[in-house]
Amino acid sequence: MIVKLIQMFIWLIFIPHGIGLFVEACRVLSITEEEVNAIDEGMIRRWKIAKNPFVQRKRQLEREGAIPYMVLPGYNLMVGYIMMWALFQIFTVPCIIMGHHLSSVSILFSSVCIILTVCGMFGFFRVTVEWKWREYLQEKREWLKQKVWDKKRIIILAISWGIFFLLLLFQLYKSYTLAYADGDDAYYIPISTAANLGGGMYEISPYTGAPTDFDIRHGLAPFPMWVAFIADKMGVNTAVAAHTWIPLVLIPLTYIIYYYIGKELLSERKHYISVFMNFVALLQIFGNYSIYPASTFLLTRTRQGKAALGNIIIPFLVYLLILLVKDADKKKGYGSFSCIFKLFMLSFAASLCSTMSGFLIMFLAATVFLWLYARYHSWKLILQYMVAFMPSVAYAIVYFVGDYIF
Amino acid sequence: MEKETLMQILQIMRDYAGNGLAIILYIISAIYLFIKEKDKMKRIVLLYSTVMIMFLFILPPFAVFIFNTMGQEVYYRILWLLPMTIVIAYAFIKVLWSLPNLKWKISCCVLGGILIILTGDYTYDNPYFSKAENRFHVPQIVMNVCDTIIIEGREVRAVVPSEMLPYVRQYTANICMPYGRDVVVETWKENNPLYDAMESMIADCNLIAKLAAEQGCHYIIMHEEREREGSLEGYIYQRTVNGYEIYLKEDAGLF
Repeated sequence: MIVKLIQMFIWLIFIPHGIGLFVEACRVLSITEEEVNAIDEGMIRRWKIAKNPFVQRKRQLEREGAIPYMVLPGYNLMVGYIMMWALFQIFTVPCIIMGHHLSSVSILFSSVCIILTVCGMFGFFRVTVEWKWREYLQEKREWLKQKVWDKKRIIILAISWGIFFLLLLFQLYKSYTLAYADGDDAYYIPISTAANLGGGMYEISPYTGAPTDFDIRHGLAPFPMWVAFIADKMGVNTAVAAHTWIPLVLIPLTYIIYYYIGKELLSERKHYISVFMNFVALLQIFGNYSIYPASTFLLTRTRQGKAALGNIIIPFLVYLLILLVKDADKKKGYGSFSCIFKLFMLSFAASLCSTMSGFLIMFLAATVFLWLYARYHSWKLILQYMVAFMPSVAYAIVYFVGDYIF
Repeated sequence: MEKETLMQILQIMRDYAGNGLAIILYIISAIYLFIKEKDKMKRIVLLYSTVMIMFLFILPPFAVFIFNTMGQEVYYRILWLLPMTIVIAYAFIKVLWSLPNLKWKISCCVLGGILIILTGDYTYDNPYFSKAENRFHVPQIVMNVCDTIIIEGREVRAVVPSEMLPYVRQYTANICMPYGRDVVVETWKENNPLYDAMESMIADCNLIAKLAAEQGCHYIIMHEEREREGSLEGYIYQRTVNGYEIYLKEDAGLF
């Protein structure tokens, strides 16, 4: 049991976190002097270029900079999951179409994940090695000593966050101890189980176990293959991984995304974030007004791709669109490379969850891009939209062509 | 044609909204933010995009396009793009900001929580939830029956009662079946004589045994209290596990 928990920690938390660190290290190391000047003053105060032969460009951060952002485990986990799912989609779909087994994907994907995680650790070390963390901690200590503490506010914040974590623990407890009888599990989990047993990916009917024709609609959104991969790495039955362990990570991941959305919306009054999170938690727990809302899917069908689409992909897209609008404001009309890159990888990650996801994310993003274009008339924005959602268009083409072929 | 499509769209919205109170709360929150929120970024992402999504959602030509390319059954997912959770939560926070002192703010928080509880529906009283009997979240009875008939390293074929259908292959891929859950769902239903025979009011055992043998089934699983006539010729009773009788084909050659 301990070994399985360690494996679960490695593949569901440590590896995605490492991949997120890699992405953020690349972002920090590539920030130009012009971008520094354009970035919100509250984020970064002063930069110094260090003379280091091993790094092309280095920045030394003080106060609130990208490094404190990088050390926040939630942020890297959030970014890391999107990157991890994107990579899984990139590797798995060609293997499915070519008739390879899950073991091929597993070896390739595991290797890439481990390499990126190691690079992420290395990148984090290289970025932080010249960070004056001692001076930063000393400054924080001085600030804490001088600050006039409002005891009432601290108590209220503590109670507010305490209530939120109780609500979160309640949901995790329910997801572990309650079974939800969903008919779609009779399709998705046997698909994963069969793949794990070496039966090929989408080559066997999940209902009967007999060989079947390739199902392009589900084959292009192989979220069950990711579930099968995780079950294989943890050394547990796929049903155990899907019903018991995966929800324990994906539910908190949803709240991490809402936390960062709240952080952007409430940037002037951060002490309200805990209240915001409490309202979000209540809206999820009491969101079962019909079987269709995304909140219902989160707490009843967490293990399925469509739940990930409605509760992780779409909220993360909203977060990126908020960042895009802020970027456009500073850059006079278009987004930063970091934002567009994350949108590009989100397109892949969304395609992993559902074949309809490409259309949905393009639709939502188009509404924001259109408003920005109407405001700034920047052709770069149109180009960025086309580049960011190229994967969604590509998968749509493969879907329609594949429908005729298969 | 357009009127018919519009009716279908409205039906999808009604099904999505449930009792409609949560949607009303969302609309009130969105209107409040329209009036009070001045930040362009928040207006674009939370409000203007909502208006565009709703406008296209109720447009019949758009709906027809989606029905034809992706299917009518998934049209409701466009409503997932509405940032309902974020708008409602953020609107409550904006109200909190405007209140003068702590007592008012705490009262507003409590009131907001009560409003969300009253307009929503508690997820965990859904009748499809039951206490998990194991980490597989599969009925223990199904696991016990499957463990009895599984043979390591090879597949076996079994015909099982409909209540077991969704769970057998979730637990193990080593048990194949002549039909699965797809035969139960009304919209997918294909004519399957073996399923009809298994689920008829009084089970015709002779017919079941004949059809099961034709489809290469090694096992027939049947509840001990199942009303039946005739006998399962060619199948030998093995044992009863948690109320389910297990019959093995005479010349199955499994062992």
